[in-house]
Amino acid sequence: MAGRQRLHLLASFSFKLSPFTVLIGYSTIIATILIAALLATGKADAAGDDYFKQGIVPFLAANCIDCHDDETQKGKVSLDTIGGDFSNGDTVALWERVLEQLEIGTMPPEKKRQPSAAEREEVVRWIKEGLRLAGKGFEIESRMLLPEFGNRVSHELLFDGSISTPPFTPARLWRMSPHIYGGKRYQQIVRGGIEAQPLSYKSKSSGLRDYADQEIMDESGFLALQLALSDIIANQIHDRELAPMTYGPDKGKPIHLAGKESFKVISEAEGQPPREALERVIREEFERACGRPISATEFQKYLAFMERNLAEGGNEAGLKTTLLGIYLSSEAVYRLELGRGADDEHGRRLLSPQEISFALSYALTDSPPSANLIIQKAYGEGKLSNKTEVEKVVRAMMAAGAPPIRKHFPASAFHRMIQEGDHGFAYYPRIVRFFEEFFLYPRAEGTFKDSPGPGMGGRALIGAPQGHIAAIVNEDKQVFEELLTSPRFNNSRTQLLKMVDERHAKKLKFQPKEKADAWRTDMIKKSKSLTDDTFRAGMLHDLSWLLTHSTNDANDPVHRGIWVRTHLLAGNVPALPIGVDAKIPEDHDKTLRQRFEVTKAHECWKCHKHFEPLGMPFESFTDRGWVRTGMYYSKKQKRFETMLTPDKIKSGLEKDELVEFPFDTSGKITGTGESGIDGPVKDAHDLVHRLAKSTRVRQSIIRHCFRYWMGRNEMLSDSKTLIAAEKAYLDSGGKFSELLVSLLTSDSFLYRK
Amino acid sequence: MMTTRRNFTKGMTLGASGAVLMPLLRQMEAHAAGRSDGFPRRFVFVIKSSGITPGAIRPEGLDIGDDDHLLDLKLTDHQLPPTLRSLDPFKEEMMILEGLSGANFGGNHSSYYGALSCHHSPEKPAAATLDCLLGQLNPAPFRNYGFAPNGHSIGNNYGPIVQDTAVFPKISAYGQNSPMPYQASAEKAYRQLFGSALDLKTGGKKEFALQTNLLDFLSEDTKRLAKQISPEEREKLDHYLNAFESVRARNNELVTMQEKIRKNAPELTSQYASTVFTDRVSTFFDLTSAALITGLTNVISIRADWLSAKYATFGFKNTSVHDIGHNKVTDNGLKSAEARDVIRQFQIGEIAKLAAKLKAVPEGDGTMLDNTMIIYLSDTGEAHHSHRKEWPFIVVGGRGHKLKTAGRYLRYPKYGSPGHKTIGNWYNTILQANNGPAKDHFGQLDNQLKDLDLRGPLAEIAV
Repeated sequence: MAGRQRLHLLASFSFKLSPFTVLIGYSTIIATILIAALLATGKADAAGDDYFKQGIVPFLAANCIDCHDDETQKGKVSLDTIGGDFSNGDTVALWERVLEQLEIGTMPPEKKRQPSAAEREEVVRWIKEGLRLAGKGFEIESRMLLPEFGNRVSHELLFDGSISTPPFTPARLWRMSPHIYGGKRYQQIVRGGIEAQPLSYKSKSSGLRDYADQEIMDESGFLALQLALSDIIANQIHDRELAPMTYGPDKGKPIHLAGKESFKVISEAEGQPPREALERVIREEFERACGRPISATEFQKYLAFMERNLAEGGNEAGLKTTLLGIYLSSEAVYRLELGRGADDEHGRRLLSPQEISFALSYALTDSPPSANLIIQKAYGEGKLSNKTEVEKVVRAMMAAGAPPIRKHFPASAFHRMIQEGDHGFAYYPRIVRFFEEFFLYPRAEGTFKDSPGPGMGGRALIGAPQGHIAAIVNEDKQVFEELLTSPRFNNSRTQLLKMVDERHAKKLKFQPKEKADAWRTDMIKKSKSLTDDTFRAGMLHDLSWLLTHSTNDANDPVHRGIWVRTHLLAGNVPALPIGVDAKIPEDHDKTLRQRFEVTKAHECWKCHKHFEPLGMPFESFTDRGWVRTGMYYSKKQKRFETMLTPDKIKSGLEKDELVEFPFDTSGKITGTGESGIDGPVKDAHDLVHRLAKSTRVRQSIIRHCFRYWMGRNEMLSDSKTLIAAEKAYLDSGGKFSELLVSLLTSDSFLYRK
Repeated sequence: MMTTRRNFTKGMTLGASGAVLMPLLRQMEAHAAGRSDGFPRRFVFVIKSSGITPGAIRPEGLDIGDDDHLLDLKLTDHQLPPTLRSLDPFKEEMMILEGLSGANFGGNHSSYYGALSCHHSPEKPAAATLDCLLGQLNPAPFRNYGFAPNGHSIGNNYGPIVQDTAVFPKISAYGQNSPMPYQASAEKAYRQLFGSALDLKTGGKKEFALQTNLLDFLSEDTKRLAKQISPEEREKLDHYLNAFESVRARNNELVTMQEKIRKNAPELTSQYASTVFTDRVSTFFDLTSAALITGLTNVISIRADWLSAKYATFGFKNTSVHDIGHNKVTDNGLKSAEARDVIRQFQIGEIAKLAAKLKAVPEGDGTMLDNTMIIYLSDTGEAHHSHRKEWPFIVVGGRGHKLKTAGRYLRYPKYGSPGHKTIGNWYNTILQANNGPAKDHFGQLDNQLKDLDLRGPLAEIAV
């Protein structure tokens, strides 16, 4: 209590905080008088000092000083003399640590009394202002724009309904994504060489990627794009002969690739090409690049540009230069979301109908609005100028759906889906990609395994989850719960054999009996490698997710746990401290649990406790994703076996070739604050079923949807949008389509400021 | 500091660390511009895949003993191993460098960007690589140029590997998240490097002249948009405008070099369209000497091969470099080590030819080779499946660089022993000799070596 007494000397004891005001945007000045005073003087002056004494000191006294006074100094941190002077380097460093602990919610420890979300936020804001004064503003603000910092925005405040600020997105330019680049189809004939994809995301290579604030067009981007487009244009201005195929039915025959007619008319013209040809190229290629028809003034500008190029450089060089001028124009490389529509009383501006048409088209597809009939029609009729009209279009797009896209599907499966006329909104490319970026399952294809067993990868490995996810989303009932617990993720032999019989019957109609029978026999043989699992439930038990989150030769409870903490529990994980050599001993005669004993040391566990108990239940699977019932060590191979069938286990134990080790799949959920959810879990099955019932998990997934579709992290001012999205999902019995309608018609989506 | 989005994007040009890096690069260029000795320092990096076996590049009969002390020998006292014999004429101006490590730059069969940046970065570049930094220090119209037989089209890392266009072999980077493209098409490289002064069917000087029109048009278009938007967002367009300006600056330089380019441009032969792997690599070396002699660039990186490459010329039509790494016997019956010898002999032969061409060009009191350092290395250290506790190098030429590399065999004590050094030390040595910023260490330190003093350049090589 010594520290608390000392604090008494500093300030009169008061728990009353200044009135809570809402942080309304990254770049918006927060309007408390006290902060303004701090800013004006550049240091914590008298007014700031008062605020420190009345607002901050009581918070520290109530929540921190018990453990972090001069005497106890837990974690060697003492806060009782910290003070509010941000011109002092040591003070700044200490406040930075405090900020991180408060933002990620690791302090005060869970067993202690917790400050309210509003109290926490108020102190966070005060520290951030101080750090800004200390010249750290850029660092703090820029990291909040990165997807991996999204969860630092208070979950409680986003969903508790206390914020009434009207939502908006800052006006922005958004560099076209690599996918949108692909959607423009500059290269129409892929055969004969795929040109380099010149655009890349700046973001980390995993997780949600297309954030407007991260993606810009700089010099290296420009050079790469110019290089690729020059190649693509050169390939299309004449017919081309390629070297003959060296295999296949067309072996030895020359390959003739036709150039683009509209280009050839110009590039191959003797003398001056006809004016209609110039007009056609400008109109068509402008629309391709910018996704909208060219205006009359723009047309005149481009025509003059082209005529000059042709006159100075001849037909071929002139055409190429003109096309580069169109393809590299700022509107072709940037999406514009400036809010060119009407102002409202909150100082926000609605997107213009044209901006809305782009936003909607790129929300669900990678093609410009000109390729979408529903959007085209509404835009043409002037019906994209208010929320009701937008909702109509979004609903129509959901209802229309899309045909399946190939992605990871094996060819045969894909062609069957097309033949059978499969269709649904879950096949929109951007929806498919959301689940890829959320679950990260396609990364399983690149998994490299040193542990014994066949090679990894293959389309089936990630084609299967792609199919399951699409089916669940298209069914559109309790979608999140289904994704997390559906039994369809089991590799069931019975299920496969049923499918084989159905397909066999179909094949008999168009194939000779011997061929169909041979196929059936082969499939039955293949099916023997499958068991009738019933254990698997949902995506986190799918091979692809498990493999993505595994190491070369072992399960990876750390990254699995971190994934669950950050993606499903809207939680944060402290960064790996610099200088820590986080290595788990590689003893091949110990189980993973035994090897992970090292993390129970206090300095490791204070972080590991946030994710390891969430990752350990996946010990229910081997590192190759097989469901297991025990831990068996092979004496001969000197390693734990990862691909044993029950028969082999039995005989191995009988012959004393295998040693059985303790099998522990337990873990613990923390941090939801929900009874019936938090607490110990038995195994991976128990874990996902429990998570699927959690409110926090639902909200966490909704936050990720928000980020993906808005192209940015949520701000506190987006609270209304998130609450409405959750309500739409719940009221409809868990429809993903309703959640999307809600997000795509929200103020956050439609308004700019 | 409230307009933070503005500041944020300002830092984005070179990835998140760009804000810090940008002034550094400018400072380095300024340093370089103030150089006194007159001749540019040139570098050619030849990066092979599947590792370089240390024993195979060691002088014949050399016993490295218990390997825990420094070995520093005169190459002229020894015989080069068979696969290095083509370098015999350069024995007095080359160095075989062994014993350095880069264990912490992991990756599956390759350290990718890590090999030249000394950062663990198997997927995306985490920092600028040595070749790109040297390109900034020794500026020419093209700061850097890269050749690669094939590579990934970026943004599509699991997608097909392409070879008729610019590619990203994941080796060089201007900075964090800013990979450098390499050219895989010899014809396109030819047009890019020499086209500004030549009458070519496509991509020749006619097209080059129109670039001014293009840049004017794009600048005007971008400025028009800039007027309509807020200052925060205008920052993004400023980056775009800057790009036009730097291309314009390069074009201006090229215009002044027209005569030189015409004189030195190689003849555009049918070899430029060859699909034979070894022909393509040879053409890259030809283009390299021509580009250096013309003064188009001072730093060239050549990706000598890749795991999927098949040296059909040598009878490995169905056996890839990766297969050979996995001990598969080649179609014509060569065992792994033998096949690796054949490949190495070819690559070293190309280096020897390049060195001979440069040596034939007088420069000051010496030749161009004196001012050109050719560095042969692998992207993954010592083996196909490497631990990178060894990372061998062969250095040819560069006597005029302020580094003691002439006529030496130098082997540092084995990993972890006192006196052991890393590739970070070696790169730091090169950078400092080129007026690079004085730093304690280049790249990330190896945690396993925390007991060793790894600060500063290599005393044995630095002058």
